[in-house]
Amino acid sequence: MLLNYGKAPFFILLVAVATGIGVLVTHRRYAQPRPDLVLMTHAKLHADVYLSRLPEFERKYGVKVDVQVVEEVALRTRLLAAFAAGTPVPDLVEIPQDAALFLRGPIRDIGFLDITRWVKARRLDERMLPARFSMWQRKGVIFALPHDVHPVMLAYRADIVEDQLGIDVSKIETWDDFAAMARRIVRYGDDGRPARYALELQDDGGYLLQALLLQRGVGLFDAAGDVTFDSDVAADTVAWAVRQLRGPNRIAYSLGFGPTLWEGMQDGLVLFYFTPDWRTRTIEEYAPSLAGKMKLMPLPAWAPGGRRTSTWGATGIAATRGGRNPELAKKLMEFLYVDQTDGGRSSAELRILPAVRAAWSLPIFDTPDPYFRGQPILRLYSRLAGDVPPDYASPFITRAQSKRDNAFAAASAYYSLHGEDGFLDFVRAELRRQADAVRAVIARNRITEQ
Amino acid sequence: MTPAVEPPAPSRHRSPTPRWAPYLFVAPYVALTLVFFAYPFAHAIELAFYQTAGPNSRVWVGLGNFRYILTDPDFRTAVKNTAVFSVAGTAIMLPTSLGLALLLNSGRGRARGLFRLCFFSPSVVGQIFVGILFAVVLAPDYGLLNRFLQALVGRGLETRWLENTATVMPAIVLTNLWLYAGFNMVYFLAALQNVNPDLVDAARMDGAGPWRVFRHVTLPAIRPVAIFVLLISTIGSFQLFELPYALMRSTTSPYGPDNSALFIVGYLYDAAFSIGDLGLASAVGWVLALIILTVSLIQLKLTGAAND
Amino acid sequence: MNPVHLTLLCAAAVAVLLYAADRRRPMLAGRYARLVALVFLAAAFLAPFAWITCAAFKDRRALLEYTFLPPPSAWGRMLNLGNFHKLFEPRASLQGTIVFWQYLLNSLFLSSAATVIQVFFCSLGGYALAKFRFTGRRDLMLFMAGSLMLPSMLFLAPTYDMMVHIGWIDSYAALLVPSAANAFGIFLFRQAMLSVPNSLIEAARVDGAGEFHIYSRIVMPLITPMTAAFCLIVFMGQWNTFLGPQIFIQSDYKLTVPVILSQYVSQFQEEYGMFLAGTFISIFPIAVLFLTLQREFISELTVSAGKR
Repeated sequence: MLLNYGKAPFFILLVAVATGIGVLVTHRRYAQPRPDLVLMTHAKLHADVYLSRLPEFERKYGVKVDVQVVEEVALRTRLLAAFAAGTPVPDLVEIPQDAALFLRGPIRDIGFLDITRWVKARRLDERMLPARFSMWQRKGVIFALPHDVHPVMLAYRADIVEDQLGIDVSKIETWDDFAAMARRIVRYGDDGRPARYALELQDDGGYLLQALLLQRGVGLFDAAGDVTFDSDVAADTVAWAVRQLRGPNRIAYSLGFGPTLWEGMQDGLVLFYFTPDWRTRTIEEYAPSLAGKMKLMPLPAWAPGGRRTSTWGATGIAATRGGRNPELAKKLMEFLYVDQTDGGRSSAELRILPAVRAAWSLPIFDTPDPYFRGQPILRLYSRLAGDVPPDYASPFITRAQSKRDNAFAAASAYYSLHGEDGFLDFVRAELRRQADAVRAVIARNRITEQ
Repeated sequence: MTPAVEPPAPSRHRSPTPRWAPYLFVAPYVALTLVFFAYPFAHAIELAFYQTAGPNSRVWVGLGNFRYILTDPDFRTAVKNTAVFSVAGTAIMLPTSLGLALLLNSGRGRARGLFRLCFFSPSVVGQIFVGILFAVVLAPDYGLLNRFLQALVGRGLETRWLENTATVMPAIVLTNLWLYAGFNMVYFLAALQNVNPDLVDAARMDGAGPWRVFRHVTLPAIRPVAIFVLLISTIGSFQLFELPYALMRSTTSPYGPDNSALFIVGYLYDAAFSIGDLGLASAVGWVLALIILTVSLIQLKLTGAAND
Repeated sequence: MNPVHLTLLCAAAVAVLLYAADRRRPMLAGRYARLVALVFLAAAFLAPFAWITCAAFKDRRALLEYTFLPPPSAWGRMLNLGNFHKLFEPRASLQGTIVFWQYLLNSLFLSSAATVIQVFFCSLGGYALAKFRFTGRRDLMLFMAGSLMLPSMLFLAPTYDMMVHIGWIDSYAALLVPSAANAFGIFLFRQAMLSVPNSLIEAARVDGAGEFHIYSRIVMPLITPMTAAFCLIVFMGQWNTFLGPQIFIQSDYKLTVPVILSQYVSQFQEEYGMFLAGTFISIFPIAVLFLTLQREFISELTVSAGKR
């Protein structure tokens, strides 16, 4: 009878029934009783480390904790949907910086737990680098603990820069010094195509532009939540970056972040890379052929004596309002982020300097890293950690980032066409235009700002 | 093959057909549509006049959402991009698929089937896969396309397809072309069967060259199918979302440099899942629906296609 | 002189030879030119597939070093199943460890279930619209035509809201039920059923057959090619669909192949090797189904296009 529909549907029906049984059987395996706490994170690396440390916590409090890894975009979508619809949420969420978008709306409606009082009671706002709380608070209300500091240094091909070209990087103190050095070493092949560049930058602005801006103290927002990326300093920085990418004396190249980056790095197409602490691990993993050929140096300052580091990336951990056991959740937050019960081993393994200042002097961070020619990289980072600039959060962070990048793209296009002619004025006007667009969105949302 | 026949008028003698039979058969569709289509639709009508943030906060804004949308430069960019893609994409897609069909048409048997399969196969891969895949294929310095161009004409190795505002749209059009040219080619292959070979021979004997034969014999014969392909291509271009979303996935700006990969469905997605304001999202949905229906109606009128 | 230039030169040389050999019959050179063009185009269309295949087997770190394959001397070093091993490694998740087979099973189930469900319900609706005259028929069809033009994204936010209230979040019902009877399928079946002679149906009615009996025993067996074509369309569509599962499925172990593979490639996770290996695998079921059903599919596409 079923063959009335034809052979194809019949066969597919068989498949449907068979796989349906398979699905029923296999899915049942997974429906285990819920543990006491559920931690959701977007970083698989972190999850692995937590899984190894959790038994200690579970033993101490007699509970069961589970860690779930959800990819960033999916995590954002799920949280947004869950907060909006009131569906069950994980008790703890490890969130990337742009999760600040959840800080929208009246304070009472934000899906994360207000931990301000707890943080102040445990003096965590002093024990951890205060500047890092800038990303996780709104109107003085703290919602998450900072995971990291992420100071930025420059990683460079020491085998080319020092051995081959004989350059002494300790003499480079400012970006002007760097640019002067770089202009001498940029090289073109016989066919006119670039064969060597000095610095990595992004054609669309992006994280690297943001690192440069933060180094000069220019973030997307200020502490009050107002837009600040159209200041004169910002315009100057944008102009500088565009000139390095497009100017007659260009020294920078955009390799992107995918497989092209690793090919370019190993080919020596670009020599200096912006490297926060976490990126050292990525570099070691994806460019193994460069072991023993790389080294780190602090960022050149913008003015003599200026800040020699910046920051790139931030992760925080927040408890959700819909969680079942806020007290236990807070204990877990402290255990994972503050207590260094393993002597900093997990931090060293992740190559991520913790936000807790007392931990920076742990001896494990003095371990030399053979990949970077024996430099004790985390020790180097810890020396810069105190200088890391704040970066204030806002629900409109993703919008502001994309608007600022739009301005950069427009500036690049302008420079390609007109060069220096009216360039700086254009940059200023363009930044102002994009910043005003963000201000318009913020103004519109005053309605729910109670 | 019997030609299509309209349903018969109710017959004179006793017909055992129950009057309610057709209603029962369409009942599943109607029920599902009411629940999953009409209800969210109605809900969206109401929601469009509010601003929401989270489950509990709702504030009446009247026409505020609409005012914001119509004055938002991003929305204009999205509409512009969609229009450009719709026109340019279709203008390139139609001749290409027609060209492929013409090339293939004069073949025979197995070779023809094999080539047809080759050209059709890209549509088997999902848009999300194609997007991520082509992001690597289009990569500068090391990607497949750039390497090929470099080998062919000696330049193009560094073209940053997805990072320059000027090249993003061509990249998307190219990817879309790869995906669907073969699919549309099949339609045209079918249409070419309708070309009367006697007419072609007659024209040839009158001394007409291949181009004139094409213009005066072939084109008119395939006109209905061409219009059909035009219509579905246009409708498809308004629904474009997954492809640019996947292409831009590994770059920092999800909508391309300076929003050059922002299309109207992307704008809606942004309002719903990035801003998180379901009220605004509903309002955007309304404006979109209006635009799409208007354009489709205009196109139907212009091409004079009498749809059933 | 690189491989690309070499190939072009050889092809051109043969063309010249053919033309010179027999100037009275340029047809041969013309047919040859046609063949060459087809071969080049087919190569262009298949190039990304070849690239996927090579890339899936290349060591992750050497992904872009060689465009397709490294020289045979390096094969031992650079070609391995590493990507596949990593893909099938058990992953830790909240509810236990999951293997890639689970996602394949999920996708297979969803695709086949969706196919079966939609074949049944859409054919019901198509039958009603094709073989009955009832009040509201024209309006219904107009409504359905209009609904086809609107992107499904329009209702995503309110639909999500609704799914939460029904409690279908994180359940396959949210993916299977709403489109169980959809306008596209109904139109397709209607188109096919229009060619079924009414005399057969009338005769059956006079014999006292029930409507469902007529539908299932008489009409459906006559349109099996269209049913097969529709099966392919739905299966392919559901297999590759990304947005629905991504938004409605919350539990890791219920995810489908496109969603899980897209998670391997995001801004800071770039497991291209695993992604490509997964893509390579996921093309297989579709390719098999397509090869089996391609004749019906293309002929039905052809016929329905010809009818316009």
